[in-house]
Amino acid sequence: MVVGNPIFIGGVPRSGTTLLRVILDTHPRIYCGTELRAVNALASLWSSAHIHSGRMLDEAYALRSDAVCAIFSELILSFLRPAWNASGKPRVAEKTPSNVLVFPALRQLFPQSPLVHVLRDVRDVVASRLERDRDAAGASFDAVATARLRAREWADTMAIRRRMLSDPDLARTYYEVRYEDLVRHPERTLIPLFEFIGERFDPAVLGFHRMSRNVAGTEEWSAQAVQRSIFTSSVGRWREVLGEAELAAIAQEARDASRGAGYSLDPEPR
Amino acid sequence: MSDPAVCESEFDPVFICGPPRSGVRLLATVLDGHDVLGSGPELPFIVTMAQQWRDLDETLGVNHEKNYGLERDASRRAFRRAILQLFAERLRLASKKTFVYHSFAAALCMDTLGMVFPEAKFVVTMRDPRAIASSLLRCGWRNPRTGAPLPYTLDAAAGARFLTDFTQAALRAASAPVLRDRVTFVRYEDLCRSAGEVLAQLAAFLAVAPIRPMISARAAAEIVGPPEAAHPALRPDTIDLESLIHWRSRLSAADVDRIESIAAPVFRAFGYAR
Repeated sequence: MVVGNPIFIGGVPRSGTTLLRVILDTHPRIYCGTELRAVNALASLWSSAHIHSGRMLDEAYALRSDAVCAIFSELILSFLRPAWNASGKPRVAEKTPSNVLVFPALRQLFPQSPLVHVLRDVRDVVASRLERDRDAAGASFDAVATARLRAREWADTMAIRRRMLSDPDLARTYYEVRYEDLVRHPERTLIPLFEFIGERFDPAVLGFHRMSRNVAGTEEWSAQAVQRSIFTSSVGRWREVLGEAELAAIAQEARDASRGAGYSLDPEPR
Repeated sequence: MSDPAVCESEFDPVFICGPPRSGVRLLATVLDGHDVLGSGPELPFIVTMAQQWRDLDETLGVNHEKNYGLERDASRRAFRRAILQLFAERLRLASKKTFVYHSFAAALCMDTLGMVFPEAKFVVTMRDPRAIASSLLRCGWRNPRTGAPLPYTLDAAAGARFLTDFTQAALRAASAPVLRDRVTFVRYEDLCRSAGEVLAQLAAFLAVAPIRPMISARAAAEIVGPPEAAHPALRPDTIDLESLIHWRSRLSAADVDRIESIAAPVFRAFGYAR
């Protein structure tokens, strides 16, 4: 059980982080607003200060590393505090996909905070992102190159995952939720998650789509998807979207990382 | 969930900045000897922090206000407080009130620093471009990532171009309306030749008691680093006037011509003629 504030949620875009956000926000004790998109930058500032000037801060500025951490964690909390206070809830969570990239830094800044990583099959992630990327790029869209890029980004987050799991100290506050499990078996998946973050599971969280406050802002890609109850049709949708060339590019970039995360990219038997 | 008291009562820093090799650290070392002013070794990430605040404010400020109830000024105050906290313990231990932050890079974002710190004052050091270019040729600076020498340390003309571009960018930043009446310029040569007079003007600008024209060995060692890294002008208890004319013997006539033709348009305004 890891009960500190805040709870951080991350994962590659289109992996189900918004779904988990609205579920948590529907819980009577947790506030989880729309994406702040600042934690990555703020935690990276701390990393830079710690790596390049940590010794100088200690020796010349009389600031031990825990004091520097306290300054930067307070800076992050100052962004969350107004809406959190207004919610009246005792816990706060912050979901922005790129949070996952700074999980090791957040472990130092918020030693008691749960770090929740939402995982999803790289093929579904890429398929979902390609649709967005195609709309944005217009006629110049190169599906294979974009699939390769998105798969590489997915693999980069798997490197963070390996780092979190390989160090027992980092792993203590790290928790994984698989999108496929979440949509297929919501209750079975959420009960241990809530136990991990030190809260009691409340079945009402699955009614997130009925809570008007949970309608995601236009800034969130999944605003439409979280206005209906959980659905499973998005699992394996890659079969309708990706061609052989895109699948080959994805396999080239993410085969090993996928296998390590328990997702096989091997061709399915016909 | 409590909101800690905002430390708005602390004094905004004094920023010393200017082109490299123009006397930034020399001046910070002198000011460190003042009763209420305290400096310290350079912390480069402070400039990055201020730039990060501005970037977040410009790209996400509206979003944060709408979705998180975070007033636009609240994030600025949070960054200001965080930066001041980084200096606070050093100041407290030295019984000083105002931190003197020195970094040549701060010259390029004085406008942003001036927004984060609305009461801060800025002292921009200037120096004869021939002396700076000559100094750059001898500094041995390398790219920390690749280890390769920096181009502007290898060639006098490249040094003059770098210096001129840098100074133009600094002057643009200094002209921001938010900095009105908050920026002053100090010529390295005047500081060395007429330290008492220059520091008296500076004390008036900073609204502090007179500044002694002295460099303490302790401050020089700590702010500038080990003796081998010391600026030639920074010797305990003295200011080295030799550093004003080194360039005459170190640069060729052709290099002097090149530097003057490149830098003159910008530096003439500061009294540096051919």
